Amino acid sequence: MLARPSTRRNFLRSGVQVVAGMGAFVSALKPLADFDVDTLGGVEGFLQKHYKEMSADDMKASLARIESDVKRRFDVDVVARDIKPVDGVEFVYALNLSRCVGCRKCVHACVQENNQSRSPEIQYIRVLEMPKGTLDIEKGNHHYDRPTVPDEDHFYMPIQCHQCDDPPCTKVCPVEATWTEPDGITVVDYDWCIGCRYCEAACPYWARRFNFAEPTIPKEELIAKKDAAEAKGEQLEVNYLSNRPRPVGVVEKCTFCLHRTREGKMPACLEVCPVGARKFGNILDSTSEVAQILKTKRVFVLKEELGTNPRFFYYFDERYPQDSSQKSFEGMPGMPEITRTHGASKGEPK
Amino acid sequence: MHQTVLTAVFLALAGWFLVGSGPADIPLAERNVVTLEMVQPTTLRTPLGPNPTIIVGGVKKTCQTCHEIWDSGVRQNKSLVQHLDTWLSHGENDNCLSCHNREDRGMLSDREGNPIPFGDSAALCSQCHGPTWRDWQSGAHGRTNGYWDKSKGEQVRQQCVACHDPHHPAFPQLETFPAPNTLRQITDEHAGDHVLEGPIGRFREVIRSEREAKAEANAKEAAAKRAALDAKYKELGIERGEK
Repeated sequence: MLARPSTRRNFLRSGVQVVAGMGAFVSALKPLADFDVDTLGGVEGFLQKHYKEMSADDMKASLARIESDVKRRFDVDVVARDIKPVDGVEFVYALNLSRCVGCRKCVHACVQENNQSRSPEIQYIRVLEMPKGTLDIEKGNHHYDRPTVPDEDHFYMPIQCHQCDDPPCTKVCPVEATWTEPDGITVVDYDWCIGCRYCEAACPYWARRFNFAEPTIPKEELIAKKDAAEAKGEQLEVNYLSNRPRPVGVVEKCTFCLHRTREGKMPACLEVCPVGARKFGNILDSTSEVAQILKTKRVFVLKEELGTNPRFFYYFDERYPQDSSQKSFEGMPGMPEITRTHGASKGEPK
Repeated sequence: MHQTVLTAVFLALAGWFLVGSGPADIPLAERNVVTLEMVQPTTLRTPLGPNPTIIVGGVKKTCQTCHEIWDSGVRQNKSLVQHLDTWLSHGENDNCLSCHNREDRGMLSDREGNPIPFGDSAALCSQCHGPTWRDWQSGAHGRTNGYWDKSKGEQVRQQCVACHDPHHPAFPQLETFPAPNTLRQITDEHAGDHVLEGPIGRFREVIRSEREAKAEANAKEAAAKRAALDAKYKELGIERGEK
Protein backbone atom coordinates (compact mmCIF):
# COMPACT_ATOMS: atom_id res chain seq x y z
CA MET A 1 0.00 0.00 0.00
CA LEU A 2 2.77 2.40 0.99
CA ALA A 3 4.73 1.58 -2.13
CA ARG A 4 1.85 2.71 -4.29
CA PRO A 5 1.88 6.23 -5.60
CA SER A 6 -0.56 8.43 -3.75
CA THR A 7 -2.97 8.98 -6.54
CA ARG A 8 -6.61 9.95 -6.25
CA ARG A 9 -7.59 6.39 -7.34
CA ASN A 10 -5.48 4.73 -4.65
CA PHE A 11 -6.75 7.10 -1.99
CA LEU A 12 -10.39 6.38 -2.83
CA ARG A 13 -9.77 2.63 -3.03
CA SER A 14 -8.14 2.35 0.37
CA GLY A 15 -10.77 4.70 1.81
CA VAL A 16 -13.53 2.39 0.62
CA GLN A 17 -11.68 -0.64 2.03
CA VAL A 18 -11.35 0.96 5.46
CA VAL A 19 -15.04 1.88 5.52
CA ALA A 20 -16.00 -1.65 4.45
CA GLY A 21 -13.75 -3.17 7.09
CA MET A 22 -15.20 -0.98 9.81
CA GLY A 23 -18.70 -1.78 8.61
CA ALA A 24 -17.98 -5.48 8.83
CA PHE A 25 -16.48 -5.05 12.30
CA VAL A 26 -19.49 -3.12 13.58
CA SER A 27 -21.94 -5.62 12.13
CA ALA A 28 -19.98 -8.47 13.70
CA LEU A 29 -20.42 -6.79 17.08
CA LYS A 30 -24.09 -6.10 16.43
CA PRO A 31 -25.44 -9.03 18.53
CA LEU A 32 -23.88 -7.37 21.58
CA ALA A 33 -26.40 -4.54 21.23
CA ASP A 34 -29.14 -7.02 22.17
CA PHE A 35 -27.12 -8.49 25.02
CA ASP A 36 -28.90 -8.35 28.34
CA VAL A 37 -26.60 -9.16 31.23
CA ASP A 38 -29.61 -10.22 33.32
CA THR A 39 -30.20 -13.28 31.14
CA LEU A 40 -26.83 -14.60 32.30
CA GLY A 41 -27.55 -14.09 35.96
CA GLY A 42 -26.68 -10.42 36.11
CA VAL A 43 -23.43 -8.75 37.17
CA GLU A 44 -23.77 -10.06 40.73
CA GLY A 45 -24.27 -13.58 39.45
CA PHE A 46 -21.21 -13.20 37.28
CA LEU A 47 -19.03 -11.92 40.10
CA GLN A 48 -20.31 -14.40 42.67
CA LYS A 49 -17.98 -17.05 44.14
CA HIS A 50 -18.09 -20.78 43.45
CA TYR A 51 -20.78 -22.58 45.45
CA LYS A 52 -18.25 -24.36 47.65
CA GLU A 53 -16.39 -21.14 48.43
CA MET A 54 -19.40 -19.08 49.37
CA SER A 55 -19.74 -17.95 52.98
CA ALA A 56 -23.15 -17.95 54.66
CA ASP A 57 -23.49 -14.25 53.87
CA ASP A 58 -22.51 -14.79 50.23
CA MET A 59 -25.18 -17.48 49.96
CA LYS A 60 -27.76 -15.22 51.58
CA ALA A 61 -27.00 -12.51 49.04
CA SER A 62 -27.10 -15.01 46.21
CA LEU A 63 -30.47 -16.41 47.30
CA ALA A 64 -31.86 -12.87 47.51
CA ARG A 65 -30.61 -12.27 43.98
CA ILE A 66 -32.29 -15.49 42.80
CA GLU A 67 -35.59 -14.41 44.37
CA SER A 68 -35.52 -11.03 42.67
CA ASP A 69 -34.41 -12.65 39.43
CA VAL A 70 -37.44 -14.98 39.47
CA LYS A 71 -39.67 -12.02 40.30
CA ARG A 72 -38.25 -10.07 37.37
CA ARG A 73 -38.52 -12.93 34.89
CA PHE A 74 -41.79 -14.55 35.92
CA ASP A 75 -43.45 -12.02 38.23
CA VAL A 76 -43.87 -14.67 40.94
CA ASP A 77 -42.73 -14.45 44.56
CA VAL A 78 -40.63 -17.41 45.59
CA VAL A 79 -38.44 -18.32 48.52
CA ALA A 80 -34.95 -19.41 47.48
CA ARG A 81 -33.19 -21.94 49.69
CA ASP A 82 -30.00 -23.93 49.79
CA ILE A 83 -30.74 -27.29 51.39
CA LYS A 84 -27.64 -29.19 52.49
CA PRO A 85 -27.09 -32.98 52.38
CA VAL A 86 -27.95 -35.00 55.47
CA ASP A 87 -25.26 -37.08 57.22
CA GLY A 88 -25.59 -40.86 56.98
CA VAL A 89 -27.71 -40.69 53.86
CA GLU A 90 -26.78 -41.95 50.43
CA PHE A 91 -29.59 -41.91 47.91
CA VAL A 92 -30.33 -44.78 45.58
CA TYR A 93 -33.06 -45.27 43.02
CA ALA A 94 -34.53 -48.58 41.88
CA LEU A 95 -36.84 -49.02 38.92
CA ASN A 96 -38.97 -52.08 38.31
CA LEU A 97 -38.91 -52.90 34.60
CA SER A 98 -41.59 -55.54 35.09
CA ARG A 99 -44.04 -52.82 36.12
CA CYS A 100 -43.20 -49.74 34.05
CA VAL A 101 -45.83 -49.28 31.36
CA GLY A 102 -44.24 -46.28 29.67
CA CYS A 103 -46.96 -43.70 30.33
CA ARG A 104 -44.42 -40.84 30.74
CA LYS A 105 -46.24 -39.33 33.71
CA CYS A 106 -42.88 -39.17 35.54
CA VAL A 107 -41.38 -37.10 32.73
CA HIS A 108 -43.99 -34.39 33.03
CA ALA A 109 -44.20 -34.41 36.82
CA CYS A 110 -40.44 -33.81 36.80
CA VAL A 111 -40.79 -30.88 34.41
CA GLN A 112 -43.36 -29.29 36.73
CA GLU A 113 -41.38 -29.95 39.88
CA ASN A 114 -38.03 -28.78 38.58
CA ASN A 115 -39.18 -25.79 36.52
CA GLN A 116 -37.64 -27.03 33.30
CA SER A 117 -38.01 -24.96 30.17
CA ARG A 118 -41.19 -25.82 28.27
CA SER A 119 -39.97 -24.31 25.02
CA PRO A 120 -37.31 -25.12 24.03
CA GLU A 121 -38.32 -28.31 25.75
CA ILE A 122 -36.09 -29.74 28.45
CA GLN A 123 -36.88 -33.03 30.17
CA TYR A 124 -34.63 -34.95 32.54
CA ILE A 125 -36.32 -38.32 32.08
CA ARG A 126 -36.42 -40.09 28.74
CA VAL A 127 -38.62 -43.16 28.51
CA LEU A 128 -37.40 -45.60 25.89
CA GLU A 129 -39.69 -48.04 24.19
CA MET A 130 -37.44 -51.06 23.85
CA PRO A 131 -38.05 -53.87 21.40
CA LYS A 132 -37.94 -57.22 23.16
CA GLY A 133 -34.65 -58.99 22.67
CA THR A 134 -32.31 -56.10 23.37
CA LEU A 135 -31.02 -54.01 26.22
CA ASP A 136 -29.11 -51.73 23.86
CA ILE A 137 -30.55 -48.33 24.62
CA GLU A 138 -29.44 -47.08 21.20
CA LYS A 139 -32.27 -49.24 19.82
CA GLY A 140 -34.95 -47.69 22.00
CA ASN A 141 -37.60 -45.41 20.54
CA HIS A 142 -37.74 -42.03 22.30
CA HIS A 143 -40.77 -40.77 20.44
CA TYR A 144 -43.37 -43.52 20.61
CA ASP A 145 -46.73 -41.86 20.42
CA ARG A 146 -49.37 -44.53 21.00
CA PRO A 147 -52.64 -43.34 22.50
CA THR A 148 -52.32 -45.99 25.19
CA VAL A 149 -49.50 -48.05 26.67
CA PRO A 150 -48.03 -50.61 27.15
CA ASP A 151 -47.54 -52.22 23.77
CA GLU A 152 -47.12 -55.97 23.91
CA ASP A 153 -44.07 -56.17 21.69
CA HIS A 154 -42.05 -53.71 23.74
CA PHE A 155 -40.92 -53.02 27.24
CA TYR A 156 -40.29 -49.59 28.66
CA MET A 157 -37.07 -48.26 30.12
CA PRO A 158 -36.97 -44.81 31.70
CA ILE A 159 -33.52 -43.24 31.82
CA GLN A 160 -32.45 -40.25 33.85
CA CYS A 161 -29.30 -39.21 35.70
CA HIS A 162 -27.81 -42.32 37.30
CA GLN A 163 -25.97 -40.26 39.95
CA CYS A 164 -22.82 -42.29 39.32
CA ASP A 165 -20.32 -43.01 42.05
CA ASP A 166 -17.59 -42.45 39.46
CA PRO A 167 -19.19 -39.92 37.14
CA PRO A 168 -17.50 -39.10 33.83
CA CYS A 169 -19.38 -35.78 33.61
CA THR A 170 -17.77 -34.09 36.60
CA LYS A 171 -14.26 -35.07 35.53
CA VAL A 172 -14.47 -33.31 32.18
CA CYS A 173 -15.77 -30.01 33.53
CA PRO A 174 -12.99 -27.46 32.92
CA VAL A 175 -14.25 -25.11 35.65
CA GLU A 176 -15.49 -27.56 38.32
CA ALA A 177 -19.03 -26.27 38.02
CA THR A 178 -20.36 -29.78 38.60
CA TRP A 179 -19.53 -32.21 41.38
CA THR A 180 -20.94 -35.04 43.47
CA GLU A 181 -22.39 -34.18 46.86
CA PRO A 182 -21.82 -36.36 49.97
CA ASP A 183 -25.30 -37.90 49.61
CA GLY A 184 -24.44 -39.11 46.12
CA ILE A 185 -26.21 -36.48 44.05
CA THR A 186 -24.31 -34.88 41.20
CA VAL A 187 -25.17 -31.20 40.99
CA VAL A 188 -24.42 -28.16 38.82
CA ASP A 189 -23.74 -24.62 39.99
CA TYR A 190 -25.68 -22.83 37.25
CA ASP A 191 -23.88 -19.58 38.04
CA TRP A 192 -20.47 -21.18 37.57
CA CYS A 193 -21.25 -23.25 34.45
CA ILE A 194 -19.72 -21.79 31.28
CA GLY A 195 -21.90 -23.85 28.95
CA CYS A 196 -19.12 -25.76 27.17
CA ARG A 197 -21.28 -28.93 27.20
CA TYR A 198 -18.30 -31.26 27.76
CA CYS A 199 -20.30 -32.97 30.53
CA GLU A 200 -23.21 -33.53 28.17
CA ALA A 201 -20.88 -35.30 25.77
CA ALA A 202 -19.23 -37.32 28.55
CA CYS A 203 -22.43 -38.67 30.07
CA PRO A 204 -23.21 -42.19 28.78
CA TYR A 205 -26.82 -41.98 29.96
CA TRP A 206 -27.94 -38.82 28.07
CA ALA A 207 -28.75 -37.28 31.42
CA ARG A 208 -27.61 -33.70 30.88
CA ARG A 209 -29.51 -30.95 29.10
CA PHE A 210 -28.33 -27.61 27.77
CA ASN A 211 -30.33 -24.39 27.74
CA PHE A 212 -29.80 -23.22 24.18
CA ALA A 213 -32.26 -20.39 24.67
CA GLU A 214 -33.65 -18.48 27.61
CA PRO A 215 -35.82 -21.09 29.35
CA THR A 216 -39.53 -20.36 29.22
CA ILE A 217 -41.89 -21.36 31.99
CA PRO A 218 -45.45 -20.09 31.58
CA LYS A 219 -46.24 -17.66 34.37
CA GLU A 220 -49.68 -19.20 34.92
CA GLU A 221 -48.09 -22.59 35.61
CA LEU A 222 -45.83 -21.08 38.26
CA ILE A 223 -48.83 -19.34 39.78
CA ALA A 224 -50.74 -22.65 39.80
CA LYS A 225 -47.79 -24.20 41.64
CA LYS A 226 -47.69 -21.32 44.09
CA ASP A 227 -51.42 -21.65 44.75
CA ALA A 228 -51.06 -25.39 45.29
CA ALA A 229 -48.21 -24.80 47.75
CA GLU A 230 -50.13 -22.12 49.61
CA ALA A 231 -53.18 -24.36 49.85
CA LYS A 232 -50.93 -26.74 51.80
CA GLY A 233 -49.72 -23.88 53.99
CA GLU A 234 -46.33 -23.78 52.27
CA GLN A 235 -44.51 -21.25 50.16
CA LEU A 236 -43.35 -21.74 46.60
CA GLU A 237 -39.71 -22.62 47.06
CA VAL A 238 -36.82 -22.92 44.67
CA ASN A 239 -33.46 -24.42 45.53
CA TYR A 240 -30.01 -23.16 44.59
CA LEU A 241 -28.63 -26.46 43.29
CA SER A 242 -31.81 -27.88 41.84
CA ASN A 243 -35.07 -26.33 40.71
CA ARG A 244 -34.48 -22.59 40.55
CA PRO A 245 -35.16 -21.24 37.05
CA ARG A 246 -31.98 -21.51 35.01
CA PRO A 247 -30.30 -18.82 32.93
CA VAL A 248 -29.61 -19.34 29.22
CA GLY A 249 -26.44 -21.18 28.24
CA VAL A 250 -26.03 -23.55 31.17
CA VAL A 251 -26.29 -27.28 31.63
CA GLU A 252 -28.82 -28.85 33.96
CA LYS A 253 -29.73 -32.36 35.09
CA CYS A 254 -31.77 -34.55 37.43
CA THR A 255 -30.85 -34.03 41.07
CA PHE A 256 -33.12 -36.74 42.53
CA CYS A 257 -35.26 -33.70 43.51
CA LEU A 258 -32.73 -32.89 46.24
CA HIS A 259 -34.92 -30.05 47.52
CA ARG A 260 -37.55 -32.69 48.31
CA THR A 261 -35.43 -35.72 49.15
CA ARG A 262 -33.06 -33.93 51.53
CA GLU A 263 -36.14 -33.07 53.57
CA GLY A 264 -37.28 -36.68 53.67
CA LYS A 265 -39.78 -36.59 50.81
CA MET A 266 -39.91 -38.80 47.74
CA PRO A 267 -38.83 -37.44 44.35
CA ALA A 268 -41.62 -36.08 42.14
CA CYS A 269 -41.24 -38.78 39.48
CA LEU A 270 -41.81 -41.49 42.08
CA GLU A 271 -44.83 -39.81 43.63
CA VAL A 272 -46.81 -39.86 40.40
CA CYS A 273 -45.82 -43.26 39.03
CA PRO A 274 -49.22 -44.94 38.61
CA VAL A 275 -47.81 -48.48 38.70
CA GLY A 276 -45.36 -48.17 41.60
CA ALA A 277 -42.37 -49.00 39.40
CA ARG A 278 -40.16 -46.38 41.05
CA LYS A 279 -38.47 -46.87 44.40
CA PHE A 280 -36.22 -44.50 46.28
CA GLY A 281 -34.43 -44.36 49.59
CA ASN A 282 -31.32 -44.40 51.71
CA ILE A 283 -28.96 -47.23 50.86
CA LEU A 284 -27.18 -46.87 54.20
CA ASP A 285 -30.38 -47.89 56.01
CA SER A 286 -30.84 -51.67 55.70
CA THR A 287 -34.57 -51.42 56.39
CA SER A 288 -35.27 -49.01 53.53
CA GLU A 289 -37.31 -50.12 50.52
CA VAL A 290 -34.33 -49.85 48.19
CA ALA A 291 -32.20 -51.93 50.55
CA GLN A 292 -34.89 -54.63 50.52
CA ILE A 293 -34.97 -54.55 46.75
CA LEU A 294 -31.20 -54.82 46.43
CA LYS A 295 -31.34 -57.75 48.83
CA THR A 296 -34.11 -59.73 47.19
CA LYS A 297 -34.41 -58.75 43.52
CA ARG A 298 -32.50 -59.39 40.32
CA VAL A 299 -30.87 -55.99 40.10
CA PHE A 300 -28.67 -54.62 37.35
CA VAL A 301 -27.18 -51.32 36.24
CA LEU A 302 -27.05 -49.85 32.78
CA LYS A 303 -23.75 -49.85 30.88
CA GLU A 304 -22.02 -51.62 33.74
CA GLU A 305 -18.93 -52.10 31.56
CA LEU A 306 -18.17 -48.37 31.70
CA GLY A 307 -17.40 -48.57 35.41
CA THR A 308 -19.52 -45.58 36.32
CA ASN A 309 -21.08 -47.34 39.34
CA PRO A 310 -24.56 -45.84 39.06
CA ARG A 311 -26.85 -45.20 42.02
CA PHE A 312 -29.75 -46.05 39.74
CA PHE A 313 -30.72 -49.72 39.58
CA TYR A 314 -33.15 -51.59 37.39
CA TYR A 315 -34.82 -54.75 38.55
CA PHE A 316 -37.31 -57.38 37.47
CA ASP A 317 -40.03 -59.23 39.29
CA GLU A 318 -40.23 -63.00 39.06
CA ARG A 319 -42.93 -62.83 36.51
CA TYR A 320 -43.89 -60.36 33.88
CA PRO A 321 -47.41 -58.94 34.06
CA GLN A 322 -49.77 -61.20 32.19
CA ASP A 323 -50.12 -60.89 28.45
CA SER A 324 -52.47 -57.97 28.11
CA SER A 325 -54.00 -59.38 24.92
CA GLN A 326 -55.64 -62.00 27.13
CA LYS A 327 -57.92 -59.34 28.49
CA SER A 328 -59.88 -56.60 26.90
CA PHE A 329 -61.40 -54.19 29.31
CA GLU A 330 -62.13 -51.57 26.76
CA GLY A 331 -65.79 -50.73 26.62
CA MET A 332 -66.57 -52.88 29.65
CA PRO A 333 -68.82 -51.40 32.32
CA GLY A 334 -67.00 -49.18 34.75
CA MET A 335 -63.83 -48.93 32.69
CA PRO A 336 -62.67 -45.41 31.94
CA GLU A 337 -62.73 -44.47 28.32
CA ILE A 338 -59.22 -43.45 27.40
CA THR A 339 -58.93 -40.39 25.28
CA ARG A 340 -55.90 -38.21 24.97
CA THR A 341 -56.61 -35.01 26.80
CA HIS A 342 -53.41 -33.17 26.08
CA GLY A 343 -50.56 -32.69 23.69
CA ALA A 344 -50.30 -33.12 20.00
CA SER A 345 -50.98 -36.72 19.08
CA LYS A 346 -49.06 -37.41 15.95
CA GLY A 347 -49.34 -40.65 14.05
CA GLU A 348 -51.19 -43.82 14.79
CA PRO A 349 -49.77 -46.59 16.91
CA LYS A 350 -47.98 -49.17 14.88
CA MET B 1 -10.47 -4.34 -11.35
CA HIS B 2 -11.56 -7.43 -9.41
CA GLN B 3 -10.39 -5.72 -6.24
CA THR B 4 -13.05 -3.09 -6.79
CA VAL B 5 -15.69 -5.77 -7.39
CA LEU B 6 -14.65 -7.54 -4.20
CA THR B 7 -14.82 -4.32 -2.28
CA ALA B 8 -18.29 -3.64 -3.61
CA VAL B 9 -19.48 -7.12 -2.64
CA PHE B 10 -17.87 -6.76 0.75
CA LEU B 11 -19.51 -3.39 1.31
CA ALA B 12 -22.88 -4.64 0.19
CA LEU B 13 -22.63 -7.62 2.53
CA ALA B 14 -21.54 -5.44 5.44
CA GLY B 15 -24.44 -3.12 4.74
CA TRP B 16 -26.88 -6.02 4.62
CA PHE B 17 -25.55 -7.49 7.86
CA LEU B 18 -25.87 -4.11 9.52
CA VAL B 19 -29.36 -3.23 8.32
CA GLY B 20 -31.06 -6.13 6.65
CA SER B 21 -30.51 -9.20 8.80
CA GLY B 22 -32.54 -9.77 11.93
CA PRO B 23 -31.81 -12.25 14.69
CA ALA B 24 -31.69 -15.88 13.65
CA ASP B 25 -35.11 -17.47 13.44
CA ILE B 26 -34.79 -20.72 15.37
CA PRO B 27 -37.78 -22.97 14.80
CA LEU B 28 -39.23 -24.35 18.01
CA ALA B 29 -41.48 -27.35 18.24
CA GLU B 30 -45.04 -26.81 19.34
CA ARG B 31 -45.38 -27.01 23.09
CA ASN B 32 -47.09 -29.99 24.64
CA VAL B 33 -49.24 -28.61 27.41
CA VAL B 34 -49.25 -30.77 30.52
CA THR B 35 -50.68 -28.93 33.50
CA LEU B 36 -50.08 -29.47 37.18
CA GLU B 37 -53.47 -31.19 37.61
CA MET B 38 -52.52 -33.87 35.10
CA VAL B 39 -49.50 -34.95 37.10
CA GLN B 40 -50.98 -35.26 40.56
CA PRO B 41 -49.94 -38.33 42.59
CA THR B 42 -53.44 -39.77 42.59
CA THR B 43 -53.96 -43.51 42.63
CA LEU B 44 -55.59 -45.23 39.70
CA ARG B 45 -58.84 -45.80 41.59
CA THR B 46 -60.47 -44.88 44.86
CA PRO B 47 -61.06 -48.00 46.93
CA LEU B 48 -63.98 -48.46 49.29
CA GLY B 49 -63.12 -47.69 52.88
CA PRO B 50 -64.46 -49.52 55.93
CA ASN B 51 -68.28 -49.53 56.20
CA PRO B 52 -69.08 -48.83 52.55
CA THR B 53 -72.35 -47.17 51.71
CA ILE B 54 -74.43 -46.88 48.60
CA ILE B 55 -76.94 -44.25 47.53
CA VAL B 56 -80.26 -45.82 46.62
CA GLY B 57 -82.99 -43.40 45.58
CA GLY B 58 -81.08 -40.52 47.14
CA VAL B 59 -80.80 -42.25 50.51
CA LYS B 60 -77.54 -43.52 51.94
CA LYS B 61 -77.72 -47.22 52.73
CA THR B 62 -75.24 -49.79 53.93
CA CYS B 63 -74.78 -53.11 52.15
CA GLN B 64 -76.64 -54.90 54.91
CA THR B 65 -79.73 -52.75 54.37
CA CYS B 66 -80.57 -54.92 51.41
CA HIS B 67 -78.62 -58.06 52.19
CA GLU B 68 -80.30 -58.43 55.55
CA ILE B 69 -83.26 -59.51 53.46
CA TRP B 70 -81.70 -60.88 50.30
CA ASP B 71 -79.15 -63.57 50.41
CA SER B 72 -77.48 -64.35 47.16
CA GLY B 73 -76.00 -67.36 45.50
CA VAL B 74 -72.42 -68.35 45.34
CA ARG B 75 -72.02 -67.19 41.76
CA GLN B 76 -73.03 -63.84 40.35
CA ASN B 77 -76.76 -64.02 39.74
CA LYS B 78 -77.59 -62.78 36.30
CA SER B 79 -81.07 -61.67 37.26
CA LEU B 80 -79.60 -59.12 39.65
CA VAL B 81 -80.92 -55.62 39.70
CA GLN B 82 -78.03 -54.16 41.68
CA HIS B 83 -74.30 -54.49 40.90
CA LEU B 84 -74.92 -54.62 37.17
CA ASP B 85 -71.69 -52.76 36.57
CA THR B 86 -69.72 -55.42 38.39
CA TRP B 87 -68.13 -58.06 36.26
CA LEU B 88 -65.60 -60.64 37.21
CA SER B 89 -62.37 -61.37 35.39
CA HIS B 90 -60.21 -62.60 38.22
CA GLY B 91 -58.88 -65.86 36.88
CA GLU B 92 -60.22 -68.90 38.67
CA ASN B 93 -61.66 -66.76 41.40
CA ASP B 94 -65.15 -66.38 39.93
CA ASN B 95 -67.12 -66.63 43.14
CA CYS B 96 -68.57 -63.56 44.92
CA LEU B 97 -68.40 -65.22 48.31
CA SER B 98 -64.73 -66.06 47.92
CA CYS B 99 -64.07 -62.51 49.02
CA HIS B 100 -67.39 -61.13 50.30
CA ASN B 101 -68.74 -62.11 53.69
CA ARG B 102 -72.08 -63.87 53.45
CA GLU B 103 -73.29 -62.90 56.93
CA ASP B 104 -72.21 -59.26 56.88
CA ARG B 105 -72.00 -57.65 53.45
CA GLY B 106 -70.28 -54.65 54.96
CA MET B 107 -67.28 -56.90 55.41
CA LEU B 108 -64.99 -58.99 53.28
CA SER B 109 -64.24 -62.56 54.14
CA ASP B 110 -61.15 -64.69 54.36
CA ARG B 111 -61.03 -68.33 53.29
CA GLU B 112 -62.40 -69.52 56.60
CA GLY B 113 -65.29 -67.08 56.44
CA ASN B 114 -63.81 -64.73 59.06
CA PRO B 115 -64.71 -61.09 58.41
CA ILE B 116 -62.08 -58.70 57.05
CA PRO B 117 -63.04 -55.02 56.87
CA PHE B 118 -63.05 -53.15 53.58
CA GLY B 119 -59.92 -51.03 53.71
CA ASP B 120 -57.79 -53.96 54.84
CA SER B 121 -58.01 -55.82 51.58
CA ALA B 122 -54.31 -56.77 51.59
CA ALA B 123 -55.09 -59.31 54.30
CA LEU B 124 -57.59 -60.90 51.92
CA CYS B 125 -55.55 -60.74 48.68
CA SER B 126 -52.46 -62.14 50.41
CA GLN B 127 -54.21 -65.48 50.89
CA CYS B 128 -53.63 -66.31 47.23
CA HIS B 129 -51.01 -63.82 46.04
CA GLY B 130 -48.11 -64.89 48.22
CA PRO B 131 -45.08 -63.57 46.33
CA THR B 132 -46.82 -60.28 45.58
CA TRP B 133 -47.79 -59.96 49.24
CA ARG B 134 -44.19 -60.61 50.24
CA ASP B 135 -42.95 -57.93 47.80
CA TRP B 136 -45.64 -55.51 48.93
CA GLN B 137 -44.60 -55.90 52.55
CA SER B 138 -40.97 -55.15 51.76
CA GLY B 139 -41.95 -52.27 49.50
CA ALA B 140 -40.80 -53.84 46.23
CA HIS B 141 -44.36 -54.09 44.92
CA GLY B 142 -46.91 -51.31 44.95
CA ARG B 143 -46.82 -47.62 45.53
CA THR B 144 -45.25 -45.77 48.42
CA ASN B 145 -46.07 -42.09 48.72
CA GLY B 146 -45.06 -39.32 51.05
CA TYR B 147 -41.79 -39.54 52.93
CA TRP B 148 -38.92 -41.99 52.45
CA ASP B 149 -37.71 -40.79 55.86
CA LYS B 150 -40.51 -41.77 58.20
CA SER B 151 -39.05 -39.67 61.01
CA LYS B 152 -39.83 -36.54 59.00
CA GLY B 153 -43.32 -37.27 57.77
CA GLU B 154 -45.98 -39.79 56.94
CA GLN B 155 -45.34 -42.63 54.54
CA VAL B 156 -48.36 -44.01 52.72
CA ARG B 157 -48.30 -47.59 51.49
CA GLN B 158 -51.09 -47.90 48.97
CA GLN B 159 -53.43 -50.87 49.39
CA CYS B 160 -53.85 -53.46 46.61
CA VAL B 161 -57.24 -52.05 45.64
CA ALA B 162 -55.93 -48.49 45.24
CA CYS B 163 -54.51 -49.66 41.91
CA HIS B 164 -56.17 -52.99 41.12
CA ASP B 165 -59.89 -53.41 40.70
CA PRO B 166 -60.54 -56.58 42.73
CA HIS B 167 -63.14 -57.76 40.23
CA HIS B 168 -60.75 -57.50 37.27
CA PRO B 169 -57.35 -56.95 38.82
CA ALA B 170 -55.08 -56.89 35.77
CA PHE B 171 -53.84 -53.43 34.95
CA PRO B 172 -55.73 -51.59 32.19
CA GLN B 173 -54.01 -49.74 29.37
CA LEU B 174 -52.96 -46.24 30.41
CA GLU B 175 -53.05 -42.99 28.52
CA THR B 176 -49.67 -41.94 27.12
CA PHE B 177 -48.32 -38.53 28.03
CA PRO B 178 -46.79 -36.49 25.18
CA ALA B 179 -43.53 -37.60 23.61
CA PRO B 180 -40.53 -35.27 23.61
CA ASN B 181 -40.51 -32.74 20.81
CA THR B 182 -36.84 -31.93 20.65
CA LEU B 183 -35.60 -34.81 18.57
CA ARG B 184 -38.50 -35.12 16.18
CA GLN B 185 -36.12 -35.09 13.24
CA ILE B 186 -35.42 -38.74 13.97
CA THR B 187 -38.22 -40.46 12.17
CA ASP B 188 -39.91 -43.44 13.67
CA GLU B 189 -38.51 -45.74 10.99
CA HIS B 190 -35.09 -45.26 12.55
CA ALA B 191 -36.16 -45.96 16.07
CA GLY B 192 -36.87 -49.26 17.65
CA ASP B 193 -38.27 -52.01 15.55
CA HIS B 194 -35.28 -52.87 13.39
CA VAL B 195 -33.95 -55.32 15.94
CA LEU B 196 -37.06 -57.42 15.61
CA GLU B 197 -35.40 -59.83 13.24
CA GLY B 198 -34.27 -63.40 13.72
CA PRO B 199 -35.93 -65.54 16.37
CA ILE B 200 -37.72 -62.60 18.00
CA GLY B 201 -39.10 -61.50 14.65
CA ARG B 202 -40.37 -64.99 13.82
CA PHE B 203 -41.88 -65.28 17.29
CA ARG B 204 -43.62 -61.99 16.74
CA GLU B 205 -45.15 -63.26 13.52
CA VAL B 206 -46.39 -66.36 15.31
CA ILE B 207 -48.11 -64.51 18.11
CA ARG B 208 -49.34 -61.61 16.04
CA SER B 209 -52.18 -63.46 14.30
CA GLU B 210 -53.05 -65.18 17.57
CA ARG B 211 -53.30 -61.81 19.28
CA GLU B 212 -55.34 -60.26 16.54
CA ALA B 213 -57.87 -63.09 16.72
CA LYS B 214 -57.97 -62.84 20.50
CA ALA B 215 -58.40 -59.07 20.43
CA GLU B 216 -61.23 -59.40 17.96
CA ALA B 217 -62.97 -62.01 20.10
CA ASN B 218 -62.45 -59.86 23.20
CA ALA B 219 -63.91 -56.82 21.50
CA LYS B 220 -66.92 -58.83 20.41
CA GLU B 221 -67.42 -60.19 23.89
CA ALA B 222 -67.13 -56.75 25.49
CA ALA B 223 -69.57 -55.29 22.96
CA ALA B 224 -72.03 -58.10 23.60
CA LYS B 225 -71.78 -57.67 27.38
CA ARG B 226 -72.21 -53.98 27.01
CA ALA B 227 -75.25 -54.36 24.76
CA ALA B 228 -76.84 -56.89 27.12
CA LEU B 229 -76.26 -54.56 30.03
CA ASP B 230 -77.68 -51.58 28.19
CA ALA B 231 -80.75 -53.65 27.29
CA LYS B 232 -81.16 -54.70 30.90
CA TYR B 233 -80.90 -51.14 32.13
CA LYS B 234 -83.44 -50.09 29.56
CA GLU B 235 -85.77 -52.90 30.52
CA LEU B 236 -85.50 -51.96 34.19
CA GLY B 237 -85.83 -48.30 33.36
CA ILE B 238 -82.66 -47.43 35.27
CA GLU B 239 -80.86 -44.27 34.32
CA ARG B 240 -77.19 -45.15 33.59
CA GLY B 241 -74.74 -44.04 36.20
CA GLU B 242 -77.32 -44.01 38.99
CA LYS B 243 -76.39 -46.23 41.88
